[in-house]
Amino acid sequence: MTPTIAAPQWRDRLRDTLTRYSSLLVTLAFVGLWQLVVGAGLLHNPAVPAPSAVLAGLYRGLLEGQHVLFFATLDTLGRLTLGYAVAVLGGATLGILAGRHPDFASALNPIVALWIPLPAIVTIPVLSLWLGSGEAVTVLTVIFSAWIPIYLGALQGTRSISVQQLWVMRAYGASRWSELRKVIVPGAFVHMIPSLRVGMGYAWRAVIAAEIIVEHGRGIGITIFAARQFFDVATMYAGVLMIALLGLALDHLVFPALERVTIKRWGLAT
Amino acid sequence: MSAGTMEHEVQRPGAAAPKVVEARHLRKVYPEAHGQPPVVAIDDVSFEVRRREFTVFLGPSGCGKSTTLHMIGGFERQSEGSLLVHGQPIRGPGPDRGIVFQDFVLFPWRTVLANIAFGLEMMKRYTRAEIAERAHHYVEHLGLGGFANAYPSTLSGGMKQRVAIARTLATQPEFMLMDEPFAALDAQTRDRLIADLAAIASEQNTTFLFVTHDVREAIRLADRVLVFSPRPARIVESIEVTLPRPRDAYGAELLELDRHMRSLIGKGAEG
Repeated sequence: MTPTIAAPQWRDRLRDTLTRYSSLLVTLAFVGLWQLVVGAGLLHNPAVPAPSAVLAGLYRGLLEGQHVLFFATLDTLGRLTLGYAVAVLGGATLGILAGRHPDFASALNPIVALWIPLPAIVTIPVLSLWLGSGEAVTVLTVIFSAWIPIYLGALQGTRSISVQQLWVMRAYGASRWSELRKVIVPGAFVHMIPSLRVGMGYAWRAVIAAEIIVEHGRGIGITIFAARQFFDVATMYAGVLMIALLGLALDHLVFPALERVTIKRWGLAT
Repeated sequence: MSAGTMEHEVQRPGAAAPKVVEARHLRKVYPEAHGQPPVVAIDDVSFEVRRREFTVFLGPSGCGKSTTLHMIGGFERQSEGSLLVHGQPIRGPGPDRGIVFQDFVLFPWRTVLANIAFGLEMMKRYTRAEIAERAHHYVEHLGLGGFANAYPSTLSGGMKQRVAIARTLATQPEFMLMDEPFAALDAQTRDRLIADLAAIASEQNTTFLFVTHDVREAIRLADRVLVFSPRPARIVESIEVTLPRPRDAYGAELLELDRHMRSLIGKGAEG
C-alpha cells in the first residue's frame, strides 16, 4: 500500500486532460465570462454585445433575409483569390528570374527594398486617384502587399537549387522549358510554402483594409463599416468574427493540406 | 541481365581500342576573385581514354581531377589546351556524357522510379510506356526492387547512389562520368557498390571515367589509372591494370600495385 503513488494518479490524469484541451478551455472561459458580464447587466455599453448576440448576428447574416454576410464573404474571397493568384504568379516569376540572373536581382533590389516597409493601406489613396473607386483598387492592393514575401521566397528557393542539379539536367539535354518546369519550379517550391503562407496573411489583411476604404460593391470589410454606421453592432462583430475564422481556416487548413501533399510526402518537412 | 554474372569474363579494351577522349596540355586557371589571387587548378594535363576502358582519375583531394572530369562533361571549360571527344572539341554538356556526383543530386519531389525516368523524359525520344519499362528495368538492375515508389528522403546513402547510377545508365550514355561517387558512403556499402559497379561496367557498352582519391577503389575498378599530382594537377603516371578480376581480395601483385600507387600519391603530397 503506497498512497504516495496512488494519490497523484488522478491528478496526473486531470493535468493531462487540462493540457490537451487547454486552448479550447481558455477560449470557452473567455467567451463564457464575456457572456456572463454582459448578460448579467454588469456592462451597459451598446457597443459591446453579448457573444450570443454576435453568433445570432452571424447566423442572420449568413442564412437569413438577404444573406448579406454570406454574399459579402463570397465577394471578398473572390477579390482575395484573384489578387493572391496574380501575386503568386508575378512574385514567383520575378523571384525565379532574379534567382537565376543575379544582375536582374540587383536591378530589382532598390524597388524591393523600398516596397518592403510600405503598408498596403497607403497604396489605396494613390491607386484610387488613378483608378477611381472600383474593384481594381482593391485587387491591386492585395497584389501589391502579397507579392513581396512570395518574391523573396521564390528568390531564396531558386538560389538554393544546386549547380549539380542544373548540371544533371543539362547532361540529359533538357530544353530551357523542361529545365524550368521540371527542376527550377519544383526546386524553388520546396522552400516556398512559408512565404506563400505569409503572402496569404498579407493578402487577407489588405483585402479587408481596401474594402473599408474603397467601399465599392459588397464585401466583409464593407459590411462591417456599413453596420457601424447603422449601429448594427451584432453584424459588425459578426463580420469581425468571420474575418478571424476565415483567416484561421486559410492558415490552419489550406497550407497544412498543401504541405501534406508536397513537402511532407517528399520527406522534406522537419 | 543481372549484376554479377559477367564479372569474370571482362572483355579487355586493350591498346587496339580507338581513342574516344583526348586531352592535350590542359590548363585551368580560375581568375582572381574577391581579392584572392588567381588559382592554377590544372597545370599541364595530357591523356587519352580508349573506348570501353574503365579509366580512373586517382589523386589527392582538391587536386583538380574533378575539374578535369567536369570539363569532359562540358560543365566547365579549359583555359588552355585542347579536349576532344571523338576528335571534336567539347561544346557543352550532352546526353552522350552522363554524370553521377558524390552527393547523389536526386530530385526529392520525385519517386525512385520517376528519378530514374528523369533523363529519359528529357531526351524526348521515348513514349511514356517505353520510359516506364526502361525505368522499371533499371530499378531491378540496380537492386532497388520494392523501392520504386519511395521518395529519396527515405533511402540510405547507398540506395540513393544506386538511384543516381540507374538514372544515368537508363539513358545509355556513351560515357559515364563518376565524380567520387562512393566517397560519402560507409565502408560496407561502398564495398558492395564497387562490386556491383564492376559487374555493370563489364556488360555495359559504356566508357567509364571515374574520379577517386581511394587507391583500393581505383585498383578494383580500373583498366587504366591516371595518377594526378596535388594542385596544380599534372599526371604523374598512367598505369594500365591488366590483373584478373574480381580484385576483391589482394594477392601479391595487387598489393605491389597498391604500394606503388600510394607512393606516387604520397610523393606528390610532399611536393
